[in-house]
Amino acid sequence: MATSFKTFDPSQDSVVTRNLLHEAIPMTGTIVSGAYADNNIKNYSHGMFQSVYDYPYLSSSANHIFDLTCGYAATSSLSGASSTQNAKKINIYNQMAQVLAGFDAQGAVRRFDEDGDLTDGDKINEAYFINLTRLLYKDEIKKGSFTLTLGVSASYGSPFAETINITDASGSNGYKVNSPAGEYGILFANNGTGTPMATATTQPVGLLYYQAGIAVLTASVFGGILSSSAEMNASAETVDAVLSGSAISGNCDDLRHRFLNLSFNNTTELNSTVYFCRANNTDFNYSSNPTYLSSSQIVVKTDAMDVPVSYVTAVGLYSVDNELLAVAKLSEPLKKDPTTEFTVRVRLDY
Amino acid sequence: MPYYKFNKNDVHHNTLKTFPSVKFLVYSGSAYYNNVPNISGNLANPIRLTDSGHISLYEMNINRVSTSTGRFIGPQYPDPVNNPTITGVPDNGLIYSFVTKNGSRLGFRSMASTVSWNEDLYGTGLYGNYPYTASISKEYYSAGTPRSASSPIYVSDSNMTGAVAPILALKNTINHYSYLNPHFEYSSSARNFNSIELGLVNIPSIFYGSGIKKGTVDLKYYITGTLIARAQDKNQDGVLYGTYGETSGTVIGLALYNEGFLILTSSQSLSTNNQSLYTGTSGLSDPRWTVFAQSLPNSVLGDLGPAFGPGPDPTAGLITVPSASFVLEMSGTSKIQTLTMLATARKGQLNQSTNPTFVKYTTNNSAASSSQAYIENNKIEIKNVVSSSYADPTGSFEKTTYISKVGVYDKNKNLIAIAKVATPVKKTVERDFTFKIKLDI
Repeated sequence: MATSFKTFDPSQDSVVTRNLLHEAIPMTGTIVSGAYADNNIKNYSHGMFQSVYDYPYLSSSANHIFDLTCGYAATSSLSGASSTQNAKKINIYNQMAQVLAGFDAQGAVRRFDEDGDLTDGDKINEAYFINLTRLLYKDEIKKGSFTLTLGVSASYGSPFAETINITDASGSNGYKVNSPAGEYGILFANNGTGTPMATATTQPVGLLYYQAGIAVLTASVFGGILSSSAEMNASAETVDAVLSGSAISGNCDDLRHRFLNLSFNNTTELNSTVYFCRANNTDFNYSSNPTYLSSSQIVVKTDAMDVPVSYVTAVGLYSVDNELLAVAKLSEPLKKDPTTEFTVRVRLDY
Repeated sequence: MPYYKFNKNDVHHNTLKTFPSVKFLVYSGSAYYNNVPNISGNLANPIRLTDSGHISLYEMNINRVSTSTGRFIGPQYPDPVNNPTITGVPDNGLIYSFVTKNGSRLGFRSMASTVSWNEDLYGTGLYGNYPYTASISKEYYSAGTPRSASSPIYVSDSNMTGAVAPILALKNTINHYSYLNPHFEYSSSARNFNSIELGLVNIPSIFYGSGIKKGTVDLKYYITGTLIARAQDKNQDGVLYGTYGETSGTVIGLALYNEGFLILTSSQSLSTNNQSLYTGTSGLSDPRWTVFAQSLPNSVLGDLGPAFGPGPDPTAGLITVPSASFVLEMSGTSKIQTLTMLATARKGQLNQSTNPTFVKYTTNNSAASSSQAYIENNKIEIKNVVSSSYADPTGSFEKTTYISKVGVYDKNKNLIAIAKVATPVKKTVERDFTFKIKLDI
């Protein structure tokens, strides 16, 4: 390594770039709705949410994929002292709402808004929450790539005879920014298999928080938007009945029973700095490497008129105090003499 | 709630050095890591999409198989050049990575697509595949296996062809350790690694961390379940000595602790009665240390021609050697940085709580407020929790709190960590405590 340093000109010799790396994440419903006889479903004694794994969770190979829970606002018609886990469901709703929707000017927790316009419009008072694990969504869910297919057939026994597709189709250019948890898109439902929806047009059915990795789904996907309500359990109860009458874990079981497919693309930000290390024709033609000299003669020169030659094998990046910070190695040595000059492009990812 | 500042003697940074043990069993074409068997799932076999000798990074795609679902993940769009119908990110049931080709020159080292990066159009998706795996590998060099391409590597300055074998690439590294022992000479009067039979076992660093622990390498060679030879680095200098069997007491190879290589140089027969096909489909030979772990895939190296140099010999096939099994044991080195903080609750301090249960239930602690004034009740009574044998009279009053957790704040008083104690600690005026809080970084 030569002892000569060359100083970077920050305006010309380095540039900061950001690239996006994606992963395709498909989750077929069988993982969620019974492939492992619910050994991949973990319920807790607190009863406030349910964890879903991609394999029986007692196996060391299992990955946590998402948590499910549900809740309703204190102002919901389902709220009442006779409702099962009434306080917990309200607490869950408020907890999610204060993190994702924030507070209004009076300090009250904002309820989830169906179209993201907080000034007016319908609110989502009863909701299911799908909290995706960070292992899967990484830095954020790629906007416009989320698809959730739910079986909404009226019959409990054959839930997938009719389906709806829930997508954030407008996410790529129509996302909202008025949430404390980052950007979010509106989830819209349209008919998948059959025509279960009461209207042929797409319906807003929830919100998808891209950086938080949380999907908020209105309970009306199994009721109000359908021409005939779905039976949520073997007792043929409606979604409103199970939301008020069943525990949160039971509601999560009912949602999983109708979970056909979920897929999205995630995003990882790769921040890089590219340093252009320029070796001009008169630079770096000599070396202080011990092998450069033999008996005080330069090895690569046989007579005095030969041009000096060196072989570049690595580029060192130094701090202002001349401390070696990083070394970039070349795949093969580059021959350098006064007739050549080159720029080595060093990329540092972080 | 009071804040206390950590003094310089209250915060300690330490490095914990741990030595996790690693064991590989190599038998009949497969490796088994830490005695884990191959597990098959109801959909995929093996369940992790890689055998038990491999570590699967992040263990993506458990029990999944690639199937055509006809679905796309995210938006689909027509590509007028390649596919006038529709294209997008296909859902094949597996998690996989992709990046769009653009000016950043980002791609994947091993892409599922056979089309090279250069030939793809800008805007097309480049696909990777999961899982990423790592396992030990073996390379066997006969005395005649070329260590570099048969033609000169530098044909001219602008036309480079050929390659060098990994053992030759390690020449400088091997020579570097000659200060430990003269056996670390790539070429000496005793032998030359370019012209002797040898075996090179490559252990990826994910198995051993920052280095193999010196003195822990233990190789065992079994024939039909009977130990015939054993070798260890008993002097902890990287030289492997036979400790059992025919080669007992002799040098059988070298270990590069920091780089994760074992170089096996002993071709002395370990048993004359158990010949097997160690180096190809023909040619029976005796068991010897150079063929240790030979039943791993692509273990036999050959000459692939002038343009490619040495590489796995496709004609050798998989060396199964059903009678032989090999065990490689060692300990890795893993360094864990820890932060230890000592939080002290001194005598006479932390005896007051703002918890509502700290005051008597019957006390009216609401403040009187009006448009003129806001007056807090200054007659709030602290609840007496001193134990007494009788309900009345109670024990003599003593200010008592129960410490249930310690919060750690940064210099801007942002709560950054909470340490909880298993059971609340009773704090009275004359007691002092120090809580030792340890955090792995």
